[in-house]
Amino acid sequence: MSRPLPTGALAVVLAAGCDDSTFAPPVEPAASPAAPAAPPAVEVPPAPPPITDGPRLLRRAALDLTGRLPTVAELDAAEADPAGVDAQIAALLERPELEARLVALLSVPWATRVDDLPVGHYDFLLPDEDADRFAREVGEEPLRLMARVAVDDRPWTDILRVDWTLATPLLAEIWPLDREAGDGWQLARYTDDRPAAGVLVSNGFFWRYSTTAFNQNRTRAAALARLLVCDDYLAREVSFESPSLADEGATREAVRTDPVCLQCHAALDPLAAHFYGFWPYDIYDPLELSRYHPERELLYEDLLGVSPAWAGSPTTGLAALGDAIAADPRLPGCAARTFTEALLGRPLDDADRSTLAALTGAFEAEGLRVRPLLLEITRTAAWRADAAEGGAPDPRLLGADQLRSTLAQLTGFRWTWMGYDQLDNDVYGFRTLAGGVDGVEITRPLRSPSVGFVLTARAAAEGAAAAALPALLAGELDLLPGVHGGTRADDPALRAALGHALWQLTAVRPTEADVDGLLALWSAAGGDAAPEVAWAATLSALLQDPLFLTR
Amino acid sequence: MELSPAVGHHGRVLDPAPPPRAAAAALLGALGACAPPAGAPACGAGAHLEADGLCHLDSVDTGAAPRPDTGDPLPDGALDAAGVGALLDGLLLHGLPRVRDVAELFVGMTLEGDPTCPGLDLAFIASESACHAATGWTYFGHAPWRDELQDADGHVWHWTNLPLASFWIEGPAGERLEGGGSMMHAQQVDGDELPWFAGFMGTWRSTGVGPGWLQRGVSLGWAVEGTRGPAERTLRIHGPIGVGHLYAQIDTLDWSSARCGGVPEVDLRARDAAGRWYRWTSGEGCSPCGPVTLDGVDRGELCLDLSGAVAELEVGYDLPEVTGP
Repeated sequence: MSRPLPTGALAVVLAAGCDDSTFAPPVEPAASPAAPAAPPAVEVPPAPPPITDGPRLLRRAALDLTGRLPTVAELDAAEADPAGVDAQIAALLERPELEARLVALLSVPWATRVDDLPVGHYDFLLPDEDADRFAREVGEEPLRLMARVAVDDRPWTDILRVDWTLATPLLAEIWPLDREAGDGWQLARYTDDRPAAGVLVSNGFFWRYSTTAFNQNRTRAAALARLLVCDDYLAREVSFESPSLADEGATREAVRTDPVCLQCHAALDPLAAHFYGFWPYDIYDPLELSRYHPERELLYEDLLGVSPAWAGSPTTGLAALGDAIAADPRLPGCAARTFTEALLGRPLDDADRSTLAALTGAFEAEGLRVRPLLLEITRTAAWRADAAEGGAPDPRLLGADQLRSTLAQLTGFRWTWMGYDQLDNDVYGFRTLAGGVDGVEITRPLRSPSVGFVLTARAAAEGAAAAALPALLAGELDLLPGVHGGTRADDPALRAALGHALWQLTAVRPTEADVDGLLALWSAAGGDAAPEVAWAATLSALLQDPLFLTR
Repeated sequence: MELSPAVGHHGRVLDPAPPPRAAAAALLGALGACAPPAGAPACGAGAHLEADGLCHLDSVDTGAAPRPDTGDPLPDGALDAAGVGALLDGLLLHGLPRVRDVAELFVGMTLEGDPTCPGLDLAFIASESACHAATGWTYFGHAPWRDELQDADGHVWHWTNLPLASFWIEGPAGERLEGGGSMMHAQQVDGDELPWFAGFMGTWRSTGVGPGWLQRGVSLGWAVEGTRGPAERTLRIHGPIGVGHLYAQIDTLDWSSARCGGVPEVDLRARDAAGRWYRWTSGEGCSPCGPVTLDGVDRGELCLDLSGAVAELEVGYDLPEVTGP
């Protein structure tokens, strides 16, 4: 595989960000053969396409499954034995970083890692420096639960049935939780008599998906139907003479009697009826929101006027709802879709129908365990597409969370301001500019490079370079082995280190010209006379390489 | 409070209807004994004092009772009438939620502050950081207290409101009151029948002060209304209530001081630890007894005289005077 840019491109990136030529414009995938009207009864997973670029494929897998770059040794192995990359990918699924990566992947569809919640850190008198952590930990609670089910090789249906969650010390302080001792995320159980129903009783979910006296839990119901069985009520095509929403009485009547309204509400409202244990009388009160309220479970009778049911079958509460959804034949296919879209970074369409059917079949055959599903996804042509083609025609940008985690891996850099992670926050940060989602306004990752992406990546690269400089000058930066503050331009170690860095950052073997370009940059930026400036500029340029910023 | 009487092996009460006055006395005894603990309170029969300063039932059986031999197609662990009675007994042990208790506590604790914290008005807003009074008291949150007389329909009404409140108050000795939700009360103070109504909803709890139900922590959504005339006082409740870990939905509690010796008509449901809801109705023919059912299946008869508890409750919804400065 050849590098997509001439040697001088790095200097261009450094000087002016990326111009249009830096990234090939996104091109819609070539039209696939017409999909069959319905998937065959049994889909046989197609043989994975041959691996033409082992290192780059391994790099994509490592980023997608662990959020980290492969080591140079791992890249060397992938280069020497492309057929062994499958085994390397399987090994990635055993890495402890998988759990946090699953949290990041699930955060896109679940959209719970939002900046604004109905209550804030100040409601619990937490210091301002905990504001970002507060929002993140609240939003991650359901994601952590699901990730733990996945890495423990439990069937995916357990996300609807377990009587535990995961919590940090902060969450255990503000919620009624009995949490196991230890740092970070630990197993915990609510002590407020909520049913055992996994994510269906997660505070993090219900804080994100709030409700009002007019909404009556319908937002919550619609979100769960979309997330668990991919039944998106908002995507349904309906046409009706709407009463004015300001006329509450007319609207209430319409959703109960109007045949068009009932196309959704006949199923949506019975689902919403399950969630009155999370019904707050004050939607901004921490005391009200922190606890489950068993005594309110029957309020649906007064407030909604329909009884709890799932897909037309009556249920007796949230635990029964969990069982009902777990038995829903749509669940496996929806999970397969969710994880496939997460790894591809794009929604599936009709051209992916047979792939999805095959993945669903494999998922079911493996007892609804997520890790085998992830492995199958990495064997599909859809996931492997373009990895061997320099990112064109459909470059997959490094996600905001991947940029954050790789910069930390390579340089120890964590970009914060006032306690806010700049690549993981939008009130005081640049998460969406870096291609991430905020869960409210931006709900899908960036797929095409934008000016905002380039500027944010540049700022992050410059910050990371500055942060890494002391270690680099001391000869302790693994990314650039064998060099230090006293290394001179004519030292062979300099050339070797630059080649090493390019290889680890991009998984593309650098040419002599590539390294020459970096050496020229190093010298032009300060060289022997000002090695600190030279290294800051060079490392910053390395971290803006388009092949580093794509996967 | 004692359940009376025991449930037989078919779930039927064997010896129903003790003298109502005796049951009321037992209830009131338990309620009185568990009032704010000044020193060591004596708990009523069947209850004992624990380290939290509150009375606890000696044997609150909120779990599974032995399944009676009814042949009914019921799930394992389903409660019979006695089990449901124990749930309700536990719920009543510390009294029922009264707006007057919260109002008095709120006013008293707010007056403990100083002119700048929480200020000269009883309503206070300290939403993003707590304020600390020179007196050692701390105030946090949003407490839009209103206590005023208003003219409406030719009559004078006394309004006592804490609408959409979200606050806590803490004293130097650790005494604490916190609330999230709304407490609204209005009563006519001129005329003959003197109607009143209240909404008491949300989560409320106290530490070290206040009645037992508030110290246990209450979560509720009550709509309450009544009248106070020269010949009759009435009260009607609808809504859910949870005290501690005991939960019920009161569909109707209809009481009159002039009817059935104060025995109310009751239609409520109680929740067991497994999340099952049992219905209990009583009051027909002025009897404190009535059937308990689970999903329509008979679980026996339960006798629970609520006359004393409701009379005590009704007093707690009488707030004729404007309080505070």
